[in-house]
Amino acid sequence: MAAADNREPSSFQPLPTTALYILLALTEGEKHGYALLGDVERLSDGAVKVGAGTLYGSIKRMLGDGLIQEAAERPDPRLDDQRRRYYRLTGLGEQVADAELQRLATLLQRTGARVAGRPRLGEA
Amino acid sequence: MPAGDRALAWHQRAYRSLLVLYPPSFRREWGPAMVQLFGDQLRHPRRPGRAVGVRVWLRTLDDLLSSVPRQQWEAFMEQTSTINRAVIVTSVVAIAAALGTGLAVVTAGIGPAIPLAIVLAVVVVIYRHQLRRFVTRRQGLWYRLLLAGIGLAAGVWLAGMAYWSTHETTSALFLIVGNTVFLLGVLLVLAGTAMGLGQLWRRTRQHERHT
Repeated sequence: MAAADNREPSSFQPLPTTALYILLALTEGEKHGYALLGDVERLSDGAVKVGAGTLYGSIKRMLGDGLIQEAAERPDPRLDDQRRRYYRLTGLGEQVADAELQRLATLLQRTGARVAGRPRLGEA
Repeated sequence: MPAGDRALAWHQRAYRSLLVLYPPSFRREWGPAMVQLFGDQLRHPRRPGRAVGVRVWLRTLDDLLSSVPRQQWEAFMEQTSTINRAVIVTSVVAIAAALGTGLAVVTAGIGPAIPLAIVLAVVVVIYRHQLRRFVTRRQGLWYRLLLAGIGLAAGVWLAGMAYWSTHETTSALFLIVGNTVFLLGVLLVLAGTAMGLGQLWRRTRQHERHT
């Protein structure tokens, strides 16, 4: 995916929510679809719940963009289902995840104090 | 086969049949993994309970509602080239312009006729100078029909404008001939567009078979 490799990480921003959570889940190591489904839910505290169509739609786009790749090695068949497809981060995927987290951190830095100092609804 | 396995197989069959909603290329590539993931959710639920099946189906239906239109749109964008998209957009504009001009002629409304004539002129220019070089001889019939229809509709509109500017009343003969020719123009536009879209559809099907 030479064209994707030439892209700057910042050109992917802002990253779609599901794609960000998938990248973050894969920073922990290779994972299959069902593990990613659970990790997206866990990392978002249950706020993001995706189904098979959304998950594999995102995976398809991310494979095309060169952010992730399918792992060639399969786990021991005694430990896991051989039909499962495993995915892992590429170098570009890591850079994109870092850049997106940096962007969110900057946003939080700029607006966090303002949001924290604001009176909540119902408070005087 | 135990009752649990039978139920699981039934759920997976039902989900597999719903995958027909996705584009064929997406279904071929990701269908088996999606069915397996659906089964995993039923086999190894993260929150065990009595209503696992209901929860999984609710999430799945919600997912279908959002992911099917997106995948269909992406497949359309992938399978149709820029030129094909231009043909579709221009054809839609051409039909709208022809019908709108017809309405303007019938109601003799000068106001809407002027912008519609501009749209019509733009469509003709696009077809003549931009699309023509992409149109092969084999594809040419729909293109010629479309152009002829636009030309006829525009000609009738111009003749009507010229006639009404010099005559106070409209003769029955002029109305009959004018409306008939205009209708012919609209029919040619519709026929040309239908043939063009049919060709596009056939080409898309061929593309799908080869991928």
